[in-house]
Amino acid sequence: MQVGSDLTIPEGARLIEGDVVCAGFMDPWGSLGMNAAAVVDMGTNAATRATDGVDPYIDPWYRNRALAAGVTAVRVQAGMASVRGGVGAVLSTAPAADLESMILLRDSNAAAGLGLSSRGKAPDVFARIGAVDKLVGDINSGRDYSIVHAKYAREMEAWNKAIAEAEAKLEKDFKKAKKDRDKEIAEAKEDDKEFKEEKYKEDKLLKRPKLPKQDVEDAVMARVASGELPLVVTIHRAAEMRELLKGTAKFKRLRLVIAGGTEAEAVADQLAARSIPVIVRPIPLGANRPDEYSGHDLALAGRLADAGVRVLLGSSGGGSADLPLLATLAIGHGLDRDKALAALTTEVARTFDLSGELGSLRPGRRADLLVLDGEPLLPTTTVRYVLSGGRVLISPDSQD
Amino acid sequence: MHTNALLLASLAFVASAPTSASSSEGDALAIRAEKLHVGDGTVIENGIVVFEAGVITEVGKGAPVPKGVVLIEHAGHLSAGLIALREHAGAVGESNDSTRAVMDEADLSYAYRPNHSEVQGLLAEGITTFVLAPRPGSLVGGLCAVAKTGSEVISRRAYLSICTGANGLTSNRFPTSLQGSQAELERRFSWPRGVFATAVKGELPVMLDGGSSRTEVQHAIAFARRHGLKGILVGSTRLGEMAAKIRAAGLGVALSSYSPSTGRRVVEGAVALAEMQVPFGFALGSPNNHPANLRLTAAACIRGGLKSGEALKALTSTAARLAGVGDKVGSIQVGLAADMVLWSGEPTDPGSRVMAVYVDGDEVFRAEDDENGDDK
Amino acid sequence: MIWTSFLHAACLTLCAPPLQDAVVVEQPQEPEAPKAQPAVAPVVPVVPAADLRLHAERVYTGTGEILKNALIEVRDGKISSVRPGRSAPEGVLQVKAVTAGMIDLSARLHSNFNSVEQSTEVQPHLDVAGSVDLHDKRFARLARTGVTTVLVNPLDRNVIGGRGVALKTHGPMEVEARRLNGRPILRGAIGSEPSAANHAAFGRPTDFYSRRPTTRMGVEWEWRKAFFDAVAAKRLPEKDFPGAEDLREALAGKRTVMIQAWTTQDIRTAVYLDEEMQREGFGDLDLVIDAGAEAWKEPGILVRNSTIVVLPPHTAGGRVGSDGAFLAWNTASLLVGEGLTVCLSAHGAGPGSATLGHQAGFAMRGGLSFDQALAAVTSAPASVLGLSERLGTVHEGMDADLALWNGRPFAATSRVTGVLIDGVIVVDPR
Repeated sequence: MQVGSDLTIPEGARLIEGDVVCAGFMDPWGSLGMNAAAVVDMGTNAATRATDGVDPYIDPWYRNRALAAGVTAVRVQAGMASVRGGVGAVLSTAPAADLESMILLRDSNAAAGLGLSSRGKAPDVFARIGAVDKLVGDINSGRDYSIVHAKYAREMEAWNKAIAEAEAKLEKDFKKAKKDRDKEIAEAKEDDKEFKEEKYKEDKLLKRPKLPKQDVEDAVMARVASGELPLVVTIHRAAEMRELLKGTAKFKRLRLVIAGGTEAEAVADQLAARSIPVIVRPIPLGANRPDEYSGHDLALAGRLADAGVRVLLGSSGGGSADLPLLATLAIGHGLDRDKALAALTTEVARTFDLSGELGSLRPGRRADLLVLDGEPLLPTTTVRYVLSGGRVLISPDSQD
Repeated sequence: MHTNALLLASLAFVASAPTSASSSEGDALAIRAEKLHVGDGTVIENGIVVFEAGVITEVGKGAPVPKGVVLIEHAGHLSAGLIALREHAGAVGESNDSTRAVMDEADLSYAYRPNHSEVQGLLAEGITTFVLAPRPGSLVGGLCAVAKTGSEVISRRAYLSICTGANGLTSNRFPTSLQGSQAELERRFSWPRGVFATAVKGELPVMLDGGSSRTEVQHAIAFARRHGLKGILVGSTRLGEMAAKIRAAGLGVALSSYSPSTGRRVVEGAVALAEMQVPFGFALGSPNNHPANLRLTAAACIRGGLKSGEALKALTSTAARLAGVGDKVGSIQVGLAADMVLWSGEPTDPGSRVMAVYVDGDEVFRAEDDENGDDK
Repeated sequence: MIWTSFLHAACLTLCAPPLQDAVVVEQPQEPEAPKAQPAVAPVVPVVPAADLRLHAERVYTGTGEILKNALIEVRDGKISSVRPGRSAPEGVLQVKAVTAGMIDLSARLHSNFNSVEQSTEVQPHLDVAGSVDLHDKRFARLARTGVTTVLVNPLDRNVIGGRGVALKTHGPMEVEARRLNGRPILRGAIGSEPSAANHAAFGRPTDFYSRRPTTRMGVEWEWRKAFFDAVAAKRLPEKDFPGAEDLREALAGKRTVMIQAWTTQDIRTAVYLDEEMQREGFGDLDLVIDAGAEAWKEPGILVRNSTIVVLPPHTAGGRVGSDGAFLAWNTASLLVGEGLTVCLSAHGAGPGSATLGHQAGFAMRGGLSFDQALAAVTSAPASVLGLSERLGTVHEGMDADLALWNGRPFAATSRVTGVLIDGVIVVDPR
């Protein structure tokens, strides 16, 4: 991709004209492209992979609506409401011929859910606090696991080196040792004595290091503790958030992301200081909302952004196509328009390590673009063209 | 023009500290807004509205501001207060007496609690008037009331609420079947007495919850035609598909709230109804739906093809007309109540926010000032 | 392809008068003007609405005849002629076999609990038409299996549920426009179903389910009481109740009484009820037993009462219904052998399940001859509905309700590939 004015158009390229071009929107908390049963599965664990639950044959209507609204990529998760959701993935919303071409990023994050209602009932207070402790404990054991495995790796390396040296030495001494042994056998025969084989004593230094216990869940948590995978925690209540922040403070390389965050204002200063992004769901919820959403307020995104917290906007699986509309609702309740646009593009890319591919218009990036007839996220603006991976998927003629 | 209600009639609750923007003591006030939406589709640039004692006295571009009247400049839009057509706010648990199938004389104005948080929550989203309706569950639920949010009831017998479809059935009292409910309704309306007689004469509109399926809606429309009933259809996302029949029957519609799963039918319905010129408004369905959902539904319909002006009409003047209070609220016209909302931008844009709300000339809500400035 | 033509056909029926563009419309051969006529230009007839011709290798008329290589002409929704021994003209729809559209008297297409008024157990006057949902996809699915007419009854949770309504599975989307006005049917049940939700009053908060009947004998008591009260109401107007008139019509034989009775004791109860009415001099019920699975155990009582039996669908183990009645494979042939009229039903099975055509096949496996099986799904149900002049057989003047098969009807390797209802191609075999 080339970006700039006064570019030369290559031979055979199609020229599309429009008023405004921006990067395609991304939903950091969605379910488009996933098998419905996988999304509500409560039996997932930390190692469950979202890519195992991707369904390339979902009803095209959902996909087309999302594209027409400008959403070109979605981060998906299995077990969105379960305690350990597993490893998520980022999918493209473009129609794909096969599974591989749908997946933009295979292992995007690990996930956990704390204090979420199941079947309409909220977990009790003690269970909730215990859950936070358990998560911190899991991260801890993940860190220990990575330490143990790193030690093992080093020991193996050292052992291999030592083995190689010993073998070389053995090779050198072999002829001499063989001669000596033959001489001893001959001598023993002469003396009519029994030849006792010298027992080969294994050099203690050359003992093979013991393989540490393998555990897939700990392996994932190890990647979380080392900062390789961001950990998206769906959490709403202030007390639990405080406990979580306190408990995870010691993991210096942990990258925490909060999803939901209904009461996140109470800990906004800590979130801002530790640069922990919050994925907010700016949807109006009525009286029958789940218990953890009790304090839900549409002004949350705006207030968090004002407090310096990095804000992302997500649909929580309720329809990625409506995300731009919900973004305007958040803007109407106090979120800065530029921050809203960033929440849908650059912040998502930054949080999930996609900045090299998506989220902004830079040369070398994947061509997920929107061509609009006005500033994005304004009511008067419509999305005219949507490109994904350079392919034009939505154009004014293709829409009804 | 304050009508006497039976509950807390004289107390108008104010949601924030009252400023000098109060005209009920007889002081006149004027507001000039960059864009003034009258409510019938016209927009006045730099329009001025003058109101005194809760009633609008002047509207226009160069409306003369009388001497001594405080003029408030608003850098944004002004429109009539929004109207939601089928609400249970503040009345959950009180608005459905399902022990009897027919509660024809039940008056919902007794269930109105103006200070309830659910009612006050409506003001923050610009909803100044709403129709308090019984929840579905009874065959004839009662008489709906039209209330000013946080203030008093302005119309006590706005609709007779009837559930002709499966919503009016329960499993433990008569009727448990559709044919049973139809038989009972036919009996009540063919030899009508009391409110039924008034409804048959066309003087009392009915709120028909036909149920969700197309067949049930068809039955409801045929039922209304058979007995010459006027009123609105509610409770179904399929109403848009029956637009022609609804027009032929002379009925109106209150569209259900938007949700990602049912939204497509609501949006397509709105566009179809507008095309067939069937008058429609929006039913928020509070408190199960958040007040912001009203404008979100309108925005989703606009995104699906409805014109912005049509959407605003559906939120204000058409809804007022359908509720039978079109001569009191719903547009910025001389003689109507001073129920207005000051917006930061287009009223139908969910990206614009409520800056202030006036009910009967009193400022009952003002947004917290934000120092970050405009969101343009 | 089937669906587009279904919609196409639906649109065509709704906007009249349509022309079947999918099929080459041929003018029927005009006879030459007789020479005695003066020199007048021959009148070219205007092609009437819904004109259609189809050619079948075999037409199973249902009257006992099998016509080979027949050309069927359909005009105005009726069969205008069936002429055997013709070759298929160019462009005319060709099929292997044609039977009359099948009729299911127990298709169970009601709206579940919304279709039965349970506030009292006896509701003879309520018509299930008020709760029929014509937009229900099950109608279209049944049409695809070759069932062109169904009897919709209320859910069998009441002792006397009310009036059933006979409908074709395709047609105008208003019940009153689509209903077939044959013989009125009064539906009820004897057995465990009507009392299933009822309970005794003590020990529990009461609702209107704390009432009789809670047992089979209570159910039977309700039936007898209903008839006794209806007759009493005639003499004593103050004892009148809604539905009394319907019950008196039933006693007079003007209304068919269709009673669901799965097990032997329930069938026996139903017949004894009829005989008691006769003994008391109240009248003679025109009785049809629905889901009479165990009718094979005591066919004698059915014969002496000339009761018609509708059999439920066969299952692999033989156990059917909630009472565990046993339906043998040879039940139909046994009953027909005794001289009874037997109808088969499939309880609304859609394509992919054991359809009505399959039930006929199973009955043949149990010993029924082909003609008897065909009658059991076409002409016999038509006569129960009182619509024998319109439905159930293929010949001139009957409604153009046809099932088009791709092989011998009811054979395991055959299925319905096309359906015509009122002359409209509802399912297109092409």
